[in-house]
Amino acid sequence: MDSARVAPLPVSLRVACAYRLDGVEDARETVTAAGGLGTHAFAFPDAADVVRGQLHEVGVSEHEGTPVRVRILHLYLTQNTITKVPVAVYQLRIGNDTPVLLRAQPTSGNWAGTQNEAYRAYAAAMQEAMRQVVVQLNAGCGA
Amino acid sequence: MFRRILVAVALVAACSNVSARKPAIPPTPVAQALPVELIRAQNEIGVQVPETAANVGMQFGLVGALIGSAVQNQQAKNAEARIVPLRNLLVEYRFNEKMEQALRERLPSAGLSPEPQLSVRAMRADAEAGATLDSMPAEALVLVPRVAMDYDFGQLTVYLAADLTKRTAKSNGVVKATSQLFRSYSYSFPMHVGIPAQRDAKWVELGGERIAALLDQAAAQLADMVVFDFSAEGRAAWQGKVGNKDFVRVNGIGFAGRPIRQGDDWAWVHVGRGWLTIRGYHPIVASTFAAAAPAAAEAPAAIPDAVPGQAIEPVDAAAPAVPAEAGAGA
Repeated sequence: MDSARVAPLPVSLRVACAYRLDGVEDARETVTAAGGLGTHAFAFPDAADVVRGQLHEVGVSEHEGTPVRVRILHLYLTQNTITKVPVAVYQLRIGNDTPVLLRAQPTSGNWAGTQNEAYRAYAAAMQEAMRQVVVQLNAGCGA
Repeated sequence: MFRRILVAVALVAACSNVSARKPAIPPTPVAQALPVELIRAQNEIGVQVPETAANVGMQFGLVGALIGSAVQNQQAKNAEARIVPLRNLLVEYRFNEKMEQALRERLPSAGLSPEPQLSVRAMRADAEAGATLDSMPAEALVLVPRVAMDYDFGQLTVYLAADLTKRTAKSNGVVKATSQLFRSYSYSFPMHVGIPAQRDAKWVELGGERIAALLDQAAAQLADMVVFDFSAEGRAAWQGKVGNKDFVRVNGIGFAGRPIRQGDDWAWVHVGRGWLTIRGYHPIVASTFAAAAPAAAEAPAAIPDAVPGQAIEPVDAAAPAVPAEAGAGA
């Protein structure tokens, strides 16, 4: 997996108040099997680093604010007949709140089963999952 | 994939007959220390979708294939959205590990292999890019498990495909894998509680803990099926016959096939023609469903998406957050 191809996020995605990254845990069953598309199979061993980078990118700092912890439960791409099913499932814990489960599953038609299509699918799932993280974080900013 | 369907439809007229390779009967045991590769092919429970595109395409040509593809894509999207509550219930359940554990405990046997050498892989050794024969056994039993819900949520099934493969090296060093014997097994949980339109909610009501226990049971049953299938009794039935009236009844539910084994809540049958396959059935009926009452009481409250009839938006739109405690998997 070329992590640089799945990491970019929309510039508009930003947290609205101070949060501190308490940790990103890779809790997947395996880091060596992240699914794939057609003949293209992927391993994603550095998923935690990518998610950590994305959290920094949206404005979660290393030093101050309410602690935020993310567990990566699933991150894979599969196919259902002619449909691509990329999946990202995170567990998000903000401070001492009850953790919430966030699932991104942006399905789309599989045109030619290329490696580029696969990368776009992984990126879409991770972007959607991070968008849900930011929505959760920003929901606590007005309190 | 769309492009491939169009190509496939265009080429269908040019197809010639392909004769299936006759399966080879392996010795008993297949090998004293048979290499067994368990392929970790699935991350979460899948959902079956009818092959509408192919069927329509075959009937109405290229235009039919295009329309069928669009229909099938939408069906898959809907099915993938409907399965989300179950995936959330089982979010931390690790079926591949359970399958591995069951195989390690149950696979050693006189008919298959007294000392099987089990390895767990992301893909078949002979499918890896750049693989050479030096890096893999020349003969292996490749096992691929898969868990899937039927499109109408009427049945949850665990499949296990077993491919006894021989590998040789081509002159250019590329590994050529030849299937010597292919066997398939399945263990199903048909839902016989509630009306068909309520089936997805009934599965959620059953609860993650209970479904995980059923999947554990399926893993053990499938491992036992492989062992049975390679035993003297199992081998004798490979090319047997199943009568049209053969069936077995479990908790009042009838299943077609020639009975093999039966317990209180489950049964195995041989089905098919020519080379028979083994299927297991464990129907979920009112009495067994009720046994899961404690889990059933908690699940709907924890998973608001699971309200019967409430569609879950595909996650192009945002998926609602679900309390993490909903993940009641083992």
